Amino acid sequence: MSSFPYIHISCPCNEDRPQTLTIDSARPISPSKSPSKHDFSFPPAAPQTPTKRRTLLAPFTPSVSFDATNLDLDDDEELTDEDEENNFDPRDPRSAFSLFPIENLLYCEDCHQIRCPRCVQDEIVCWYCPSCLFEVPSSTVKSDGNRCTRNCYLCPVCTALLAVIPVNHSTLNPGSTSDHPTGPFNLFCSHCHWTTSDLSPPIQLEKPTSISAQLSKLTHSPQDNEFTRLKQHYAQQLGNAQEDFTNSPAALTRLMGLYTGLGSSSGSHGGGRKGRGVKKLEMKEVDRPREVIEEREMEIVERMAKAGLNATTNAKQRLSQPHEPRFISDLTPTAVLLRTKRSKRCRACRHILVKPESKVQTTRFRIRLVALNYIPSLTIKRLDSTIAWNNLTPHKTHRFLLTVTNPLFDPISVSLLTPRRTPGTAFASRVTILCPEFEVGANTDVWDDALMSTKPAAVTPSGVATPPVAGSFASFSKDPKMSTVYEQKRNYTSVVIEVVPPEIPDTRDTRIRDERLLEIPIYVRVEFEAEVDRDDEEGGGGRPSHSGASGGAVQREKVEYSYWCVVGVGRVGDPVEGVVASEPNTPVRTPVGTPVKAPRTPAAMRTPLRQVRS
Amino acid sequence: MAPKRSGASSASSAPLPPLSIDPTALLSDAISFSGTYLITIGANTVLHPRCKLNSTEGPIIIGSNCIVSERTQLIAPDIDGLVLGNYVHVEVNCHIQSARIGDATSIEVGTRLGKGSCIGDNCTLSPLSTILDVDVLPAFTVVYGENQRRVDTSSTAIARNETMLAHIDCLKKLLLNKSEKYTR
Repeated sequence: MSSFPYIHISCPCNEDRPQTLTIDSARPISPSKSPSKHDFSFPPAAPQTPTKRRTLLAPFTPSVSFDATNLDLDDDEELTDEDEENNFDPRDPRSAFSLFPIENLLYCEDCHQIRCPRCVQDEIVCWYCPSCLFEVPSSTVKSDGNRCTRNCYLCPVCTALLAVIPVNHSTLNPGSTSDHPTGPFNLFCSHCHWTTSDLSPPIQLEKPTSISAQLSKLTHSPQDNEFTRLKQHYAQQLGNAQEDFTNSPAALTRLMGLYTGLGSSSGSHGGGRKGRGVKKLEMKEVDRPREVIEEREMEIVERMAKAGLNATTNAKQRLSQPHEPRFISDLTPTAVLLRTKRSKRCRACRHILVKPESKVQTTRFRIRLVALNYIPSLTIKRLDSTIAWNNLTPHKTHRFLLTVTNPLFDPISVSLLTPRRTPGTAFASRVTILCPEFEVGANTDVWDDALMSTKPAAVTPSGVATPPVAGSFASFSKDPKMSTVYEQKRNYTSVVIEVVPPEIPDTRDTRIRDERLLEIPIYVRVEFEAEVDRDDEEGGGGRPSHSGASGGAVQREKVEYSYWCVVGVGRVGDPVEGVVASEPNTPVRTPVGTPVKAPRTPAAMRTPLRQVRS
Repeated sequence: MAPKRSGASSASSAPLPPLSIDPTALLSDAISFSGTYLITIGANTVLHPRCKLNSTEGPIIIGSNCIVSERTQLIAPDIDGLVLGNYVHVEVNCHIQSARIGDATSIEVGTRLGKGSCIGDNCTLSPLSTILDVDVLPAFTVVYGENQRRVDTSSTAIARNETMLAHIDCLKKLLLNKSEKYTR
């Protein structure tokens, strides 16, 4: 989060548990709000969903404090109440879990929703070694562990890959740079020049192949060591108590009570056992703190005194090896950890969102539904290059360029809505989007645009041609505020956003939360007309098949979806002399209907992605 | 120093420092020589294009069978000069102001050697490692990771010299020899 600017998109799992998310459950039904016309076009949601949502949401609803000046500016005050409830607070601890850059998000085509890493389920497609790129069957992984069982080993000192070299390459017979190097062989790190000869005792291999088999003969595998250790320990314990476990009916009960009755209570219960004429049983667990044998410890200290601190391992090296070596000469080569290829499933509808090619060598994907291809992405630039992202001047109007890029093949109408004052903080910045409603062209072929550039029809958004359906977009194309769009190209449109940060005390030392961090929540609502696939609709869960269009060959349908995103603009710096607070600091431009508050339709509020029937 | 070096970058125009180049050495095109002290280049040594040798403060002596790669700067620190031993491999983009670099030392990509530092024989400096000014690196030292050091006991020095010779043989086939351009 250190580099500004960043744009994070809120996954709908912020509002609900991913398990209960379906296209219908994502739609809020709240009795406090009057249902809009959109609500009637839907069948009733699953009965358990609304109550669940309410209980979930009620304690976590972020609140925004609007001060008096803000209220005065409001056109109608009844809406402010709603705004407070519905504004997305980027500082809310609950929302922090669901904010991701768009690159990290997937999109479920069946749920019509964004899916973040929290609401997908990973399934392992295959295991493979990243070094030799050999696939390891999962049965082998279960039996032999999650490390490469072939020839891949890492240097224990610097973690680079080890190579096999002959020990006596040129020291004994320098002339023979032969084709058949003869053993013994060493494992050699070409980065830090560590070899297995550095070990005490040195490990030398007879063959340059099947290293794992040779190493396991020379060094006991840590798992085997651990098993023999445990076996020895418990055999010893059992030997002490051997006479207790004779073939008597009491033996079994005593065996059962061995672990439950032990620990701190064993002392107090000991008397009772003695009363039955059985010896008190002392069973030491292996996990007890390790016993320090004084002689061995003195040996180690002496060795340290001789070899110096440089011969000892650091904590990372010690912990990465099962036998926790104290000296570098005790480190053994570690086999390469296997990696996995994973497919990802939507947790709600179980459809696969990502499926990589199962062959290890290929990096392609069979299925990859990334959100970047489905939802318009936002980017922010500064209009004035003198703006320092890390040091915004209080009370100064900063202008940024917000660009919406359309990945879809249909032109979209976009509404950007933001609270007039950034929520969730006592030091709210004033935010204004100069042109909050605009159109973004379709993501057509680049060549189409170039070839048809002579025709003006190709450039103008095609939304003009379609009959106005939704009321809010009726007079859209004729609206004069279209002219305030900063830049409009093939599939992106840029608008200006103005930010006036207040003076904020630096709280980084005293509080965990950085009050100076300026994050702007923006509600993005997208409407477009898409061609409807009939089969898809039947499978989509029995929605009403009402269609506004006549029964033509191509059926078009109004689709609307929306999401919250958070724009991390920067950090507010120290106040600058000469730039003072004055309420009409921002150039006064309040175009008619500039939404400086959250959307009016309550149904659209908490609906991250959904379809609306015209 | 700055104006002289800027003049030397347009290689042909600036006056070259006195050069003593072994006839078997391979000097590529566009090597930047600057300074006034003698620069000696030993037998069978390869200098890649666009490496920079600056003898403003003192002489530079490069031994035999060395490789100096592109964009590497060899700068003599003082009047005693910079001495490279034999079989020294200097990789790309290094900045070297050492007083002495021992035989069969390998200096990898992007290494910075401080002014007047002294590198022993058979050392290996892994990529992007740094040696401070006037630091002394004993023989058979490996600098790896975050400037950690360890002693090389692998006894691969002779094998590495062999690969070095093979490397030079290969480079002699690939690179054009323009040493006559500098000996004129």
